[in-house]
Amino acid sequence: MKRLLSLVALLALHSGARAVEYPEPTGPAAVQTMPGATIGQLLFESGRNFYSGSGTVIRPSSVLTAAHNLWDADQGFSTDIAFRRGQYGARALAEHYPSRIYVLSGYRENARRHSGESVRAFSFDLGALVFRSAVANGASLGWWANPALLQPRVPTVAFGYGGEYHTGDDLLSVATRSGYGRIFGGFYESDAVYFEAGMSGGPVISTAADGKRYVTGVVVASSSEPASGGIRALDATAASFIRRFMK
Amino acid sequence: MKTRLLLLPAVILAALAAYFFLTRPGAPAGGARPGTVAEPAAGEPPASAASVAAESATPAAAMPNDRSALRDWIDRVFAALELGPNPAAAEQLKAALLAAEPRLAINAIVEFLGEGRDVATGGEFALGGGGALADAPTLRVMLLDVLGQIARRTRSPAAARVSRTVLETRDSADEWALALRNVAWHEPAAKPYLASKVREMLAHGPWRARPSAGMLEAFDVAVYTRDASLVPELAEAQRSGGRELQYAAAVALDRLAEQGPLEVMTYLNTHPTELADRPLLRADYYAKADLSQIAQRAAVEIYLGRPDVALEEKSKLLKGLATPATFVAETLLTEAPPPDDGGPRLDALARATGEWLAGDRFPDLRAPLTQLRQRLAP
Repeated sequence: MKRLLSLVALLALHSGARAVEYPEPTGPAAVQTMPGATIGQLLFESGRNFYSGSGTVIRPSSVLTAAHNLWDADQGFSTDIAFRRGQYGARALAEHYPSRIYVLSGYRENARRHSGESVRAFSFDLGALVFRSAVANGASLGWWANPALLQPRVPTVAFGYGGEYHTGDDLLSVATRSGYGRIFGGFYESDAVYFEAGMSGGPVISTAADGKRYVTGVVVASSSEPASGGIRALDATAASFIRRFMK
Repeated sequence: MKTRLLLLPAVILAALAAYFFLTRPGAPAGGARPGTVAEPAAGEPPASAASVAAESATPAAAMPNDRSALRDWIDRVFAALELGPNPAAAEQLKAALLAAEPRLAINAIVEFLGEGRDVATGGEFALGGGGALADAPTLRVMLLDVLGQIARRTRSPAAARVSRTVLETRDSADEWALALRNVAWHEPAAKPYLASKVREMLAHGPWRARPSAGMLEAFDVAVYTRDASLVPELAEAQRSGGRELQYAAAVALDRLAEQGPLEVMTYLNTHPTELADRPLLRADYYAKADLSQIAQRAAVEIYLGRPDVALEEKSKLLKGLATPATFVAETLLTEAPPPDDGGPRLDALARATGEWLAGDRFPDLRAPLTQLRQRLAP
């Protein structure tokens, strides 16, 4: 969430020829069923400030989110992390506190391969919260490390608790069939969607040819000038991370 | 007659090698192809056998097992790369060397490396699994990697010997990364030597100013040594290096504290001003402690009792102990600890917290300790 804010240099929005989809509330009924019931708001402390982000239960006792919700170069690891599953308005289905944090990151965060901000950082930007017991009564959202499901014409919907133009306590969604293009490593971007601050860590869900829905990425970045949405796609590296450290 | 029969297979082998070298299409640019690896569970696609491995190696039957043929192949690839990037040629050579008779491959590589010639491959410094490279930016870096892999497999001292020579001069930070790894693989007891080379690397101005990918990956060597006396150098890089150096140093400090928690805590307790300007990060390093270990618990208690450490920092530590955190990724030498849900450490933390509160061991921490106990309650 902090990184999204740091990227929003200007709040002026284009109303130009390019069509951009913006997040809208899903409505409270959405968090009573899948996939909303496995998506939650993350509240955490970093330094002296409190922040919010988003996460998804993709294994019964684990939540997938963006790494930058969990670690900061100056403040270190986040603390007082609470996962409010099925959060909408003033209520949540459940609140859980993780017992373990994993951040997917090597020593090379920032290689400045492109002129954008930290594309290499976003290409890692995956984090996991592990809990001592099941978070969603044993349920979890299916996932598929298959970037082909991020191509144009595949229906995708990104979810998260945006707090930029909304309250931050309501689940938002934004859909596109324009696909996400690979920028660097696992970092993909679309100029057809915009993500609000607070949506970081939320799932990107694609509908496969069999009609089933799978998490195929995680919201990690956004830009307002021009509007675009960045995600960390689930690829082989992410799959290995999920399989090894999430349960 | 006999001579002609002996010559014939060699000619065929050379011809096959030349055929594959000259006609193989180029490899895709960039790193590994994304795979369709899926999660096998209800409502999810079955586990796919799809691999994200690189292109398959040239068939073993075409591998030259003659030292001069291998050396010739290296020279031909060198010549080809001088004309322009050709990652495919480099990959084919790598596969051939890894599949060849080890002694012959080692000799060919050592001979070439001794000549000091180098050329760009068109690739990048990229780690694969187990500390091996998935890609290399120069021919020498690739050959150092292959030499290290073969030597490790065969327990040959050749890679370490060549690597120590590389480490005598600061020509290439990428080569240093592989050289440090190779020495560590063959001489695991050489940690003092490796720590001294890490210091040398961090102090070299030109490399600090423009750290290469290899240099950044080489921060893992500091973690491998578990040498807490490297904390000042890492802290200094975290403080005053460029952004890339700062990040690598931050991750290295955290992982060093995780690999050697008692060493790092003892160092920080006996050097109280170290990292005092980064209190919340310093708290993270103490948060790696396993309180079921007597010595580690004692080190934490010393820290919690220090009057020079602010309440905010101590509170961060207590919260951090409740949610242990780990950086994970492919690295040059070290591995992340086995996955866990934090259970055993949290049980030890709960016991310690109860005892601290019962004995009012840390009066100024009564509130955060009470909060922690409530958080840890089943």
